[in-house]
Amino acid sequence: MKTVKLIVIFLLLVMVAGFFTPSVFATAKTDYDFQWQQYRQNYSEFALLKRDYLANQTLDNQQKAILSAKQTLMARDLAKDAYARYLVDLINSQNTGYTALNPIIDRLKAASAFYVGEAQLSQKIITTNDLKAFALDYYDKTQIYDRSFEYGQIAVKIATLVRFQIDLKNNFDVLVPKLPDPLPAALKARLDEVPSLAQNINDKIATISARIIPENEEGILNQENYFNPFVDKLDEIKTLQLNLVNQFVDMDINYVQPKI
Amino acid sequence: MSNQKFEITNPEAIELINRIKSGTIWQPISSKLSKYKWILIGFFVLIGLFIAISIGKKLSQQATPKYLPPSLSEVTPTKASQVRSTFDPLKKSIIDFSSQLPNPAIPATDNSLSLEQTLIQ
Repeated sequence: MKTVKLIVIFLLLVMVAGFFTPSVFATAKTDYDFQWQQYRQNYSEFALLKRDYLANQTLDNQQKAILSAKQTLMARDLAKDAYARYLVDLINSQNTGYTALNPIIDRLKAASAFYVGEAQLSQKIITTNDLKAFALDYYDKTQIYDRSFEYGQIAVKIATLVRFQIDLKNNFDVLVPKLPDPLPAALKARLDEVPSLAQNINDKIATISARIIPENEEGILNQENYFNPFVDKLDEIKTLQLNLVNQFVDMDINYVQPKI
Repeated sequence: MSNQKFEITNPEAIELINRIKSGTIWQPISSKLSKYKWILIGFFVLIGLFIAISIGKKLSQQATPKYLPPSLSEVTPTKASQVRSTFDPLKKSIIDFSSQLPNPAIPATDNSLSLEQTLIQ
């Protein structure tokens, strides 16, 4: 009788849980948001413990600070790993197959693997000297991997523009057979221009893709010397794509859709 | 009219009737029910709740918004006929594309985390 009672209660709980629990799916973004939150929490805790330790350098305070530092280091490197995976996911989600972006994807994957390794390595820290040595070593080792984040930012934007190009072509291929036959002279002239306009955009995308990784990788990358030139180029390509799509909209409305 | 009167003579039946009249026949059932009273009440309350939610959900899906005439002071604008193209969703995506960088923001982390005294604590 007791077993029956337990089964009834269990079934009721399952029913209630199933009825009210919303569906949540983990994505690369939710993974990153979670890890980043973990880092922020751990870091603020570490900052307090470090302050306590520096004010009163007891063995107890030292141990607390080192344990907190290890947790923070792990959270930091896992956040970086999750961020690299998030960028790869953003690039791949456009489903372009654009090979010019493959070196960036490879770098992001390498960064992801490196930071997972660093997260594990940080857990071997025992003393304050270990922590100091780890910090010094980390700064030198991570320069190249941190750079992949900047490259990934540009690659995400380019992947989106390539997606627009693919969609424009697919839509245009559907539009052309619907146009009147024979083509009016004005429309034919506009149609003849389309391949060169599209090629011009493709060339510009290829040019900026080749510039993602700068020639001098040791140099400083900042908003002014790295991101801003790309923003200008991205805006230029966006304007060209907008002009092209406006032409297609015009052809669609004036030559394909029936007049009301 | 004959006034027929049934008389029960079977001793087992008489005993059963007496048990029904005295209420002793219900005692085993009522004792079991009282034992699991709260589980049963809880179960029926939950079932009632689920049914009520389901009915409410169904009714809200079926309900069509009532037509309310606009108040006299309001002017209903005439809807202009809009010609839509199959390229409109793509055009909107291109317009919405943001070229701002860095986006998504690069995580700003402390890459020299240690217990050494630094200028900014």
